[in-house]
Amino acid sequence: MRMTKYILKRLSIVALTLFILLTIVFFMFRVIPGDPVSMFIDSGLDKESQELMMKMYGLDKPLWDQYVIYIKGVLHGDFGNSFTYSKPVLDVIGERFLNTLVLTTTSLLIAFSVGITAGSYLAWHRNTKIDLFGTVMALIIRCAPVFWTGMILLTVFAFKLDWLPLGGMTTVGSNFTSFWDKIFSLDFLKHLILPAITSALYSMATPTLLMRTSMLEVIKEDYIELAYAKGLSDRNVRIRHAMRTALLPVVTIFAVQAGLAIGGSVLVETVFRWPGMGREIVLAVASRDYPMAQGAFLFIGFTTISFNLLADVLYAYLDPRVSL
Amino acid sequence: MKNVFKVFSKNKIGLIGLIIFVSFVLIAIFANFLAPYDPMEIQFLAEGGVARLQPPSLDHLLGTTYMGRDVLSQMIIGSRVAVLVGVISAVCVAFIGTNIGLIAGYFGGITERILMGIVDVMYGLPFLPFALILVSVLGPGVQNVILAIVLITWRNSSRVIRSQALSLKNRTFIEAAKLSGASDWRILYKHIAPNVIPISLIYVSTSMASAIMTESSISFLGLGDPMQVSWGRILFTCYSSQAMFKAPWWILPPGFAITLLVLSGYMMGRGFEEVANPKLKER
Amino acid sequence: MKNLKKLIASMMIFVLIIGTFVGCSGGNSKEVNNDSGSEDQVNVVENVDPSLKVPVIDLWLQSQTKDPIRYEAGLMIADNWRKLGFEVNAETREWATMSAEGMKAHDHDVFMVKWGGKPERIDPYHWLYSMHHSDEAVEGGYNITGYLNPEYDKLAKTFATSLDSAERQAAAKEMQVLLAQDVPQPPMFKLKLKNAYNNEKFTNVTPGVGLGVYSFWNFMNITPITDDKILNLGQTNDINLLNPLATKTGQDLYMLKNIYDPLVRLDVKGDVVNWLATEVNDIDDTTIEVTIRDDVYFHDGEQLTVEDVKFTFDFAKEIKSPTYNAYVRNIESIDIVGDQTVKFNLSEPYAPFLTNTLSQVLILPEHIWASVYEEKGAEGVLTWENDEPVGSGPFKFDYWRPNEEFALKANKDHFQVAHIDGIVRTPYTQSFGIVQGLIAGEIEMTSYNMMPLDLEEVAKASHVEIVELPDAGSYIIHYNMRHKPFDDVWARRALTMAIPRQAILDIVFDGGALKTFTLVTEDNIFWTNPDVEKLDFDLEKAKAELVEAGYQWDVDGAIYYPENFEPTPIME
Repeated sequence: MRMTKYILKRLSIVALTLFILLTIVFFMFRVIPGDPVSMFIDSGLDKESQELMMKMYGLDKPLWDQYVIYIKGVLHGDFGNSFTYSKPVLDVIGERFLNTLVLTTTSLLIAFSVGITAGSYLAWHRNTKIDLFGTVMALIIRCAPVFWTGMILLTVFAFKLDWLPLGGMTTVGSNFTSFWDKIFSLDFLKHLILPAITSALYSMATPTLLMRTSMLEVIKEDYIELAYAKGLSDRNVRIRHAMRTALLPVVTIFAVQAGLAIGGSVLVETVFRWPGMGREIVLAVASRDYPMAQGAFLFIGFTTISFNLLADVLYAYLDPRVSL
Repeated sequence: MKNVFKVFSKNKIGLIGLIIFVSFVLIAIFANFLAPYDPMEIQFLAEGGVARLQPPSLDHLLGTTYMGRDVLSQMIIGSRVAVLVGVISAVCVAFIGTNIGLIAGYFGGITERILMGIVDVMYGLPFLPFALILVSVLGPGVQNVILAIVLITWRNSSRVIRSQALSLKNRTFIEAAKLSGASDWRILYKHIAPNVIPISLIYVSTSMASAIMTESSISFLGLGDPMQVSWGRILFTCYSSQAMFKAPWWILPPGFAITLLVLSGYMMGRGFEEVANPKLKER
Repeated sequence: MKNLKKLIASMMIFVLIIGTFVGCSGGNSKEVNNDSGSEDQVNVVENVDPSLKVPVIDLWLQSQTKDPIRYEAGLMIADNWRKLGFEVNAETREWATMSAEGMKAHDHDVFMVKWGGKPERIDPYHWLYSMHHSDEAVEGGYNITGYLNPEYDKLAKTFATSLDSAERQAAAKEMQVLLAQDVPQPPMFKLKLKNAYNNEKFTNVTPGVGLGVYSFWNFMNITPITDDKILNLGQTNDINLLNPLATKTGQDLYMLKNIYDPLVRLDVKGDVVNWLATEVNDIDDTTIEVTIRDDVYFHDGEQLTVEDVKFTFDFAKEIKSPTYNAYVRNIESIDIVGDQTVKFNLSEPYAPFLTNTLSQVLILPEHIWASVYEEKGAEGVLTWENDEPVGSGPFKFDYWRPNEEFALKANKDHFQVAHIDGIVRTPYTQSFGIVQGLIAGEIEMTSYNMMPLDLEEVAKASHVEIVELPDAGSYIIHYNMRHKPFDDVWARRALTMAIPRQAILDIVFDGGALKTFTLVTEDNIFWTNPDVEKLDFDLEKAKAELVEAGYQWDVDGAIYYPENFEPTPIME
């Protein structure tokens, strides 16, 4: 019951946050100098045509009217038409968002499975050279700029060794019948490997170090001693008992990391030219495609907030000490 | 609490971090003396022609870029932006975050609700995309990058500081100060603030690390100040020229430098953490 | 506790010291290039009145993202201007910002832009009339520099309205002379465009002016050698919109020009040839009669008639198409005067009516667009995606999978049939991919302009052949004659002579471009005037002209106006 109330309270904060976000973003994009039309002056849009195009985009109306129209539209699920793609923003975002989601999910799965294994391994071998080396490595990789690791992986595996493609999401000229057909194809997998590993490397340190710490706490507990006393094997104790308990805090951090990864996807997507949300925001801002940029930003904000909320709820649920 | 310096000197990780950081600061301060060439000057070969993509040699220890510029000089001059952005944003972030946390925690009530409400909204902002837009609005320039970073990251420390202030405010020594007639502000800054400073320092170092990372990311996306040589910008130039795959001497050094400097921030943070929370030392 | 405070205090001081140090050294480095090389100077005055100082020049450079050339060249220009004593503040701007504040609002001091040499600019109406007539010197107008010259305006009027091409040619040549000496916004370089194709699979490549291998005529003439008769194109970006009335990008239009037919087309040199039209008659200055073919059918089988022609022009005007507005706004009315003949009545004489209007407006099927209009209204037509365009052209729309492929197939019933069976256009995400794709044989042609490092790469593959074609557009440096010091012709001439053209060609373009001194490039033989004054790099002469105009320098080499200075906007 308290849980429901807590979630409801949080949801109302989420709604308010989104509304504020929407407003900030709407006005901020219009404060950026430049407009979507004057960019095409050199390609032959003369004075009158510029005005016609502003009108075509609805940018001739006063700012406040534009804002009211936009808010009304959003409430009806209409985010406007992208200036660049001349398609409804939601259509474009939907596709880009799925692409980002596939990439971040894969990388997080890699990061957490490797991180959890490595973390528990390091804890088990605490205070050895392996432990020290592993911890330091995890820290160093965490500090390397993700676009740089991406560039290096790209140079080595795509250019020098020519094992994997140089970027993009599919080989040019390939034909897929559906989204699922595409993402389960070998070709897609090949394109996914490098960007997924790059961002996994970046997010791997948190689960590794957290798992290690958490595992160290657990190992001290009495029941582990007890398990040993029962004559269980080292491996068995590690996996059956210690890891399972130690996993809890790592699981809660997953949602936080997911939110971070989606917000930070812009870098990996830029390096690997992955047609995702992050890259779309950069392109939309550069071309002053207001509806597209607003929509994409709102969508990323929404995901971040949702994951934060999920993390808090999960935490509260798993750890009864937290007051709601 | 007495021997901060001692603790720091005993704490290996923190010390190494401090040493790395100080060396970068020294490089930044003496950059103009250390750099063998003007980082933007186009170098020519003895036999004429631009010294494009020269591999490392005695003349150019880290080789040259596609436009014939000396990579080593760019690296050295580039440290200035990194150090400047890192230090200034870190100090600002910690200053703002600590004060807001303190005020919210100590005064409570409506003040706390409003301030923490703002923090909640700030947490909803996707960090990097928002920073990109802010820089687009403010225009390129190191000071704007710093402003953008500060505007977003102060949120991180304020929550923790607030809860610290909350727990401190009911301690007996605060009650005693109140009874002796000290004003709220005096209590806040004379008695509570000094106790949260170790935690602020953790945030100074980690904010420094994240600020440096953010600056290089923004520059890498081509939104930094093009008139200032920075490590992120070197990588951006390398990536956007067709030479990225062919010039390891160009692509590797900036990444290593960023990694090291960011790492030093986290290491110092770890050092402060042990000052703030001595229990950690046992691990 | 005290130690802690000390630590904090010392850290604060430390930070301040770094701040000042780094800040100062930042300032120093900017001055590094400011060696004014002015030891043997004349007109050096010791106690010059500071109010006479020539104001700082804000040079806007486009940020590196799009075109590194403009940025690098700009830095070199700034360095040389400083050598003349000018204080130059070079700063970069995003394209969107620069175009809004410079191209549109004319609020700049000076910036550089590359203007595209599209085929419809072969008739130099755009370069000579739009960019320099006083009517266009308003916000949003093309006279970005603010060039006001009554003598020029008179010539421009003749050029724009006369139907006698010899008279137009003479005016154009005279105008180029004026521009070359007044240098309001001098052109500097034109690219040597380098496109590539696979010579083992295709032959008879016919690049056209302005568009290179993307020229319509290339798609008509290119001939397959093998049984693979589909031409695969590689490009860095995708098609955006297939609605001819609303699209704004060249890439969309080049494809649409294959699907739809205009009344006339511009050939590979930019000359007008009849296409849908069999005859074009100028009855008088403002009346043009066009007779069209009777054997043209839209891809859905309906015949293309004079009604469709009249409809297209009326419709573009009616719904206020931003794409076509410039072409159709001079048309007062259109009358159908015969089974195959329409008459255009213009509101005022417009010399480039054929080259601009008739060659650019694509004839739309009335039966499709009229019903879209009925259903969606004018605004709806402009946002309509037209995802399966029905035209009458030599290529039919086949399919489009965004971000993957865009395909056309040859229209075998057209009055002129292409040699290839179809075109497939693939958007690569980066230029490097195009180069690799060309080498690997994934694609057979690209209009991407090969950079020196790409050329090194494709040189390894014997089947990749490079087609070179000079660009008809150029890199232009837009001074603003509304701002000091550009209001003075002597300052503009000196600054122009301080542009190190050859050095920029060698260092920045790496041999990929040529110098140009007139907006109508030298390859445009009919219109160009090769005998204009050429203000190439010459610092001595630049300085000499400044001295003659009375400019003076202080002991540090900074430049000052003469006493009682009145700017000379144009040469007498």
